Amino acid sequence: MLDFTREEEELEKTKTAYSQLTISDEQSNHAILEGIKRANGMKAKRKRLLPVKILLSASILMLVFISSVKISDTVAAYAMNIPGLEKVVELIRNDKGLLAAMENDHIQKVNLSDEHEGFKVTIDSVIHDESNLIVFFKYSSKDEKFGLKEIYLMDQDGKSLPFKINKGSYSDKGALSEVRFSLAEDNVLPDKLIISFEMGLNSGKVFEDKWNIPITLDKEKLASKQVYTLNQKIEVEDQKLTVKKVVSYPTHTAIHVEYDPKNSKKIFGIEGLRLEDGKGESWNSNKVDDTWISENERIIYLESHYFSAPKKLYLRFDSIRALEKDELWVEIDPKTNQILKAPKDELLKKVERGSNRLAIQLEANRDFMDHQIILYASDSAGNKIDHKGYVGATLDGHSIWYTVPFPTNENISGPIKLELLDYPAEIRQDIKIKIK
Amino acid sequence: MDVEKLIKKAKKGDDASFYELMQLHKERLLRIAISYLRNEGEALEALQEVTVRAYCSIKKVKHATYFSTWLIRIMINYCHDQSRKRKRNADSSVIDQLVETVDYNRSLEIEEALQRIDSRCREVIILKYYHDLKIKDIAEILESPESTIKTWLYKGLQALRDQLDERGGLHA
Repeated sequence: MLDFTREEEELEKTKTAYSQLTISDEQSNHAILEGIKRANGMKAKRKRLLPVKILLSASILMLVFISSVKISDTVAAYAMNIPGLEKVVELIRNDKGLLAAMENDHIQKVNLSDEHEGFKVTIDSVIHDESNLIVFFKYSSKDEKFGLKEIYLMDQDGKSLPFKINKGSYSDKGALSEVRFSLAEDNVLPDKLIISFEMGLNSGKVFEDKWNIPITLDKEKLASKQVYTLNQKIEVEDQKLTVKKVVSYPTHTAIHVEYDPKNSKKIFGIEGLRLEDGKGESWNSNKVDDTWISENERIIYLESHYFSAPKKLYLRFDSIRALEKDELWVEIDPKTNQILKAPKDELLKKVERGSNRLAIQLEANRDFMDHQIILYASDSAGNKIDHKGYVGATLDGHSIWYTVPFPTNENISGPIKLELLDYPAEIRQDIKIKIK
Repeated sequence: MDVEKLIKKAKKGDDASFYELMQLHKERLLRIAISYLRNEGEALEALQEVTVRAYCSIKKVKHATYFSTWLIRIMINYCHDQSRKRKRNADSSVIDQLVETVDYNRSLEIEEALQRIDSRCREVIILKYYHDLKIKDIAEILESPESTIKTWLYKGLQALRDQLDERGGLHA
């Protein structure tokens, strides 16, 4: 056996870097208490959701929490009776557009598997249209230590395709999971493709072998999109926006919205956006992230009304999130950490500096956690302070701490500026526009 | 109160006992998080997340003796998930790009050498030398036999020596 005394001594020397913690007791106790609070909340939520089983597991890559339960009971009850699709119904019962796509036979049963290393992956079925490829799959193994790492799309020759996952809800082993690939308009999805799964051990090791399942998409199941070109202008307290078009696909509806660059306020988002048929039926957000086309243009996704073919259709929303453009920059004195300039509503409370970071406290409830209000700090001239570090949001009671990288030792003359990229300021106004 | 009693009470749903258990382990968990994530803010988030995961599955802990290694395993799994997330999202959003450029003093030669060796070996070395864990506990945490851990440790130290030699380090 070789003697590693010198390597061990070197390791001993660097060990101190990890033994000096500058995290305060208060901060760490707070993290633990928040963890307990969140766990309690989740337990309650999980009970409500049964038997829809989207649970935590250490090997999950992404988590999708279902925050509201709206089940189209009649559709779900009907679809439950389609043999072999009960599990899919369980998974998508909160999305009535997808349920309708299934009910109208736009789901393709696949039932193909790949198995090695004692680990088996099965693709149960797929739903695809011009905008999405949704894959329902499950995996099982004798060994608890196995887990799913990544999923890719390849053409039939094994060349990887550029489509990205924009939603995934991964269940425990044995239960059905869903992964959704967003199909960009300029790339064509071939009919013959391979869905490739990367597996590994929970301790981190990834297997070189891939679990590959070739499938051929059934063209018969493809239904063409319906485009409603509107270019409808809307004003909410002098702020202008245009609903350019509504595109309806079997898997979702895409709303193209453009904000007027001349608005006095910057619009961050639209709250409660939905489609209604005027008879009490509505199609809401499907919890897929917006696509940003440019600074003032985005695509927002809703559940699909494709198969409901309502006679009348209205687009509605309750409010917009917007802030005066001259309030978009927050100013801070780096010497005293005082807030010199901030939005008039005074929701920004306090600034704290830590090692290589700056944090600002916003009074907001936990639902706002999904929105990152700042990404970087700038110097007095507005130049981005380029520093390595992390960006994040931490919940603290009825407020959220947003953190950006900031050098501890460098002398930066004030004031420091922070650009607000989102903010919980709402302008409420009921908007209803006719689509057809 | 001893750990065994605390675990018993925590399993029955006593939050104060669970809090106490986390108190006993938080320092070690934070240090481990920092050695993986190299950032204090993220380490705090990791502690919060590990608290959630541990709270939800504490009923799975069968013996008090395994509680510590079980917690560390949850932390390590979380850290692995995080680094995979960083990689996957590296080109997809601004936030993640920024997260990718984590800051930490990595100028020390031995640290650089560590980054170059096999990840399993590195993990064993970090757990043993930086976190003072016994081979038996590391085996427990990484769910591998002790003999395998010893092999990784030996291979890791060997690789570390080769790295340092190559770079004109310790044995020049």
